[in-house]
Amino acid sequence: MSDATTITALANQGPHTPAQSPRRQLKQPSRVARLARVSGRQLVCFVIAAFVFAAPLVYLFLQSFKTFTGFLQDPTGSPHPWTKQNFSDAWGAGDFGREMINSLIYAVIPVTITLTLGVFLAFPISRGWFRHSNVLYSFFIFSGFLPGGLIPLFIEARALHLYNSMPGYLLMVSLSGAGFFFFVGYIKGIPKEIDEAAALDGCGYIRFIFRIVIPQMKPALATFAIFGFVGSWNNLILPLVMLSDKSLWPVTRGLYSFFGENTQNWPLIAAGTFIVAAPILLLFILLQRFLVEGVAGGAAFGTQGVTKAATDQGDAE
Amino acid sequence: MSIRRSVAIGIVAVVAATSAAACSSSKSSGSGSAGPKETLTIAEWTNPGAVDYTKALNAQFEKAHPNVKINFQNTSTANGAWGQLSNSLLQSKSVDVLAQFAPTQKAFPPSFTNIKPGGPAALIEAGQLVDLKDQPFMKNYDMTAQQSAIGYNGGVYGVMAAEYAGAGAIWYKKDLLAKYNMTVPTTFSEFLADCAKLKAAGKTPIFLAGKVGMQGGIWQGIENQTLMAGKQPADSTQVSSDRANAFWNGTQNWNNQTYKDIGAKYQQVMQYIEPAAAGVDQQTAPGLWAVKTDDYPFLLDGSWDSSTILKANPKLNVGLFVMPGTDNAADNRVPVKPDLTWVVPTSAPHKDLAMQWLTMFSDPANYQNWLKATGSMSTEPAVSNSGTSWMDWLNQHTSDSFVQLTTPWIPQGASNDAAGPDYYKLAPIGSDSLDTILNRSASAYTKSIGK
Amino acid sequence: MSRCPFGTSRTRRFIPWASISIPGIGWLLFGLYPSLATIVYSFTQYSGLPGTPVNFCGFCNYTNGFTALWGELWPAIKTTLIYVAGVTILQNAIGLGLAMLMNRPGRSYTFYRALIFMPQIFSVAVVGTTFALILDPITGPAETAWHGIFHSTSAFLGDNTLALPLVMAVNIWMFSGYSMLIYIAGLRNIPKPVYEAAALDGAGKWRVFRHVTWPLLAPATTVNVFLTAMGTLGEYALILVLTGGNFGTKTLGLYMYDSAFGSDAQLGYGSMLAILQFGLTLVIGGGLLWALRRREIQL
Repeated sequence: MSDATTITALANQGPHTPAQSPRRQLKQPSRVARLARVSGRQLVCFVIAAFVFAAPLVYLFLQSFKTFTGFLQDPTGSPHPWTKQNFSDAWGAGDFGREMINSLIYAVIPVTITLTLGVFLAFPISRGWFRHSNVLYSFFIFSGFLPGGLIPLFIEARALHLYNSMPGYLLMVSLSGAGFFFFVGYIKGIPKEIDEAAALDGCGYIRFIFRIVIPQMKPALATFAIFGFVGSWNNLILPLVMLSDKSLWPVTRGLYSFFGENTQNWPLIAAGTFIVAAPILLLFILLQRFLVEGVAGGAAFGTQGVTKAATDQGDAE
Repeated sequence: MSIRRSVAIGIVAVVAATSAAACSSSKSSGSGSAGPKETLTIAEWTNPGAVDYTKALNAQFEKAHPNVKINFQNTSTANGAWGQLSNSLLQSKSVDVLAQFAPTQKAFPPSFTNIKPGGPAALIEAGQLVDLKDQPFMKNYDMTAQQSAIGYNGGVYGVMAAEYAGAGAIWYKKDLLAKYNMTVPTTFSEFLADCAKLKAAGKTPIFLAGKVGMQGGIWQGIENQTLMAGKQPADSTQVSSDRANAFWNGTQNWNNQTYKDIGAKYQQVMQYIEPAAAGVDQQTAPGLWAVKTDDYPFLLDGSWDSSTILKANPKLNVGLFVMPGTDNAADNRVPVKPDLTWVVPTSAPHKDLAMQWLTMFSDPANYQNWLKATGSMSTEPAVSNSGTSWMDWLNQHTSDSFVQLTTPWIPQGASNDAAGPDYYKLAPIGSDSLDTILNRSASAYTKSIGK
Repeated sequence: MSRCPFGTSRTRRFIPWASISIPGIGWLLFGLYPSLATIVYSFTQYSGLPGTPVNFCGFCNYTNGFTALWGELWPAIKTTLIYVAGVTILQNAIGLGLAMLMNRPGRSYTFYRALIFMPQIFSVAVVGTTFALILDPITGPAETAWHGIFHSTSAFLGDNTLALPLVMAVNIWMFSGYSMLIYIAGLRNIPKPVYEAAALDGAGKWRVFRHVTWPLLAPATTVNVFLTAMGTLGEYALILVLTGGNFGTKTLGLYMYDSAFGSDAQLGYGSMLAILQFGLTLVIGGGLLWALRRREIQL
C-alpha cells in the first residue's frame, strides 16, 4: 500500500482542518483589551451553555437525590436530605444489568453492519456504475421519508421467524437502516483515480472497500455510528413490539415499565432515567471532542451531497 | 488520534457485545431444554397497584403449579405503548390472559347503524376471544354487570375485574372539611356553597390535572346523575341505548337544553378550580394534592389513584365521594365505570392454564386483595372492598350505584367532536363558549350519521 | 455512467450489483415493503387488530379526511406549517448565532459546544420529563420566574396561546446544537484570505457578516434549513410527551399517531394521514431544495 499516503492526501478535504479564529487577523488590539474581550465572550458563552442548555438536565439530575416526600414538599429547592437511595432502588427494580448488555448488543452490532453495508450500497451508486445512478439515488432518498409501517413489519417478522429472537431482531434492524445515502455525497469527495490505481494494482473490490474507502470515511462513519448508537439505545417501540421475552429486553423497555409502576415518584424516575442515560453520557464525554468536530465536518459534508443529488437528479454523471 | 481511539473503543465494544450475545443465547437454549416447563403469558397495562398484585398472584400460581413459569408483561398506557404491546402479543398468538378495557354495550351498535365495532369488540365479533360464560369461576361474579361490560350475543367474553368511581369522583381532605364544619355535600347547591365558603376562607377549592382532561369528570358526573334521575340503577344500560337511539333518529342532539343545563353547571363548578390547573399533569396531581394538607380540599380524580395518594402522604385523612350533580339528593348516585377486563384469546397456547389462573384470581380471598390493591369497587357480590378508611362514603353508596352511561353510537371516521363536548376547548380551560362547543358537537354528530 | 474498474472482464459487470445486493434486499424487505403496505392500508377500513377484517373502501379515508374530518385535518396541517416554519427559522437563527459565538479554538469552547450539543443525545421521553417538571404550573421553577416577572400564574403547557411556542422552544433547545455545528463547519470552510481582503477594504463587523460570511455560508444554510424542516415535519413524539397534542399543538404527525394507535385505533385512516404527510414532505422538501439551491447560485 505504497500509495496510501498520497490517496489520503488527495482525499483530505478542507472542512477537517481546524481554522484559526478569523477575527484575530483583522485587528491587533492591545493585550489588555483583548483579554477583557476574550473573557467577556467566555462569560457569555459559559452562561448560555450552562444556564440555557445544561441547566434543565442538571435540574432533573438534582431531583434524583431527593426523597419522594422531600420532592413533593420542596420541588424546586435543592435536595434535603440528600439520598442515594433512588439509584439503588431504580437499579434493583428492573433487571438493568442484563438489559444494559442487551442494549449494547442492539446498538453496536446493527450500527456496525448498517454502516458497512451502507458503504457497499453507496459506493457503486456514488461512482455512477449504474445506468441511472442518479435516479436510483433520488428514489432511495425520498423513500426515506415514506411512512414506516410498524404493523406490516411486525407481521412480516412473524412470518420470517424473526419475532422474539435476538438474532432476528438484529437482522431486522441491521438491514432496515437507510442512513447510507449520506455516504454517497461523501464518497464523491474521494477521487476516482484511487479506484483505477487500486484496480490496476490488482486490489480486489471488497479489500478495496475495507482497506481504502472505509478508512477514508472515518469522520462520516464515526459520526453516523454515534448517532446510530444513540438512536438504537433510545429506541422504545420496536423492542416493545418485537421482543416479548424479558431476557431479550433492552434497557429502555425495562425503563418504560419502571416509569409506569412509579408514575408519581419523580425522584425515582429521574434516577432511573440517568442510569439508563449514563452509558450514552459516558460515550458522549469520551468522544465529545471528536463528535462535535466530526459532526461539523462529516455530516455537513455528507448532507450537502444529499441536497445536491436531489436537485441535480436527471443530470448525467 | 482521537479517531483512532474511538475506533478502538468501538471494536472493544463490539467484541464485548458479541461475546455477551454468545453467553446469553447459550443460556436461553439451556433453560429451554431444562424440563417440560410451560410458560403462561399474562399481560396488563401498568397500574401500580394492579401490577404489584398480579405479580404476587403469579408467584402464588407458580408455587401451586411447579411446572409452570409465568411470563408477565406490562407497560404504561402512555405514548401508545400498551396498545402496541397488546396488539403484538395478540398478533403473535402467544398471550394467554390479556387485560382489555371493558368495551361495554355501546361498542356493539345494532346492525341498522352499519357501524363496525372497534377495539376489543372487534376482536369478539371476529371470534378472537374465548366465551367464558360457562366457566365455573364466572359464578363468583355478578353476571348482569359482566354481560353489560363485555357480553355479546349471549356470550361473556371476559372477566370484568375492576370498576371505578370515575365520573365526578372527588377525593377530599377530611380534616380540612371538619375545620370549616362541613360534611360531604349531598346536593349540587350545597357543593357550590361549600366551594364558595372555602374560597372566601382563602382556599382554592378544587385541584385537578387539566392537562390530561380530568375536568371532563365534572361534566360526566353531572350528566350521568341528570340523565339517570328517577331511574332504577339497573336501567342504566337501557338509558344509554335509549339515548343512542334518540341521537341516531335525530330527536336528540348535543345542543339540546339538557346539555346546555349540564354545561352551565359545569362552568359553575369550574370557577372554583386551581387557576393554572390546565397545565397540571396527572403524573403530579395526586401526589402534590396529598402533601398540601392546608389547601385544595378537593381533588377531582378517580378512585384508582388511592395507592398514589396514600403513598405520597400516608398520614393524610382522606375520603372519596361523588360530586352531587343535581339538587335532589336521592338522584346523586355513584356512576361506576367498568375498567380492566381479563380476556383469553382463542389463539392462547395454554387455555387450560389460563382458566386455572383466572380461577385463582376469582377466588374471593384473592379477589379481596385485588380490590385492596387497586381501589376498585367489587364485581363479586360476595366480596366488598371494606377495610380501607377512604372508602367509607363509597361503601355506603355502592348499593344504588349504576353503570356509567355510554355515549351515543359514533360511526367510524367521525370527528371527535361528535362524541360530545371537547373539554380542552370549552371555557374556562379553553376559550370556546358553551354554545359554540355544543353546536359544534351537534353538527359533527349530525354530519357523522349522514343526516 | 462510468465503469467499474474492479474484477476480471467477466466479473466486472456483476460487482456493482453484488455490492448493493445485500443492503438492497434488506431495504426492500424491511424498509420499502412495510411502507408500501401502509399505502395499501390507506385504502381500507381496518382497525389493525389481528383477526379482524380488512375492508377495502377505495378512497374513503381520503374523501372523509377532506370532507367530514376537514375540521380536524386542516388545523393539524396549519399547526404543522407553523411548527415547521417557526422551528426552522428560529433554530437556524439561534444555531447561527451560537456558531458565530462559539467558533473559537480552545478547550473551554469545546466544552461549551459539547454542552449545547448534549440535549439531543437524551431520548425524547427524558426531555419531555424534564420540561414537564420545569413547566409544572404549581411546582416548577418556571412558575417561580413567571410569578416574579408578571405577578400572575400561567398554565404553561396547558395554556392555549403558550403551549405551541413552548413546545417549539423545547424542540429548538434540543436540536440547535446540531444546527450550530453545521454552521461552524460552514464557517471553517470560508477561506481566510476572503476575510483579509475585507479587512483591507476597511469593512465593519456587520458589513463583513452581511457581505462575506452570510453569502459564503449558503451551503451550510441549505443543509441546515433542509434538515430542520424535514426533521420537524414528522415530529410527534416530543409533542405527545409534552402536551398530548392538546391546547393547539396537534400536528399532522401527532394526528396520524392518534388515529393509528390511539384508543379507538383506525389504522386505515391513520395510514391515509401518513401518506398525506409524505406528500407534504415531498412538496415542502422539494420546494425548499429548489429555492435554496437557486439562492446558493445567485449568491
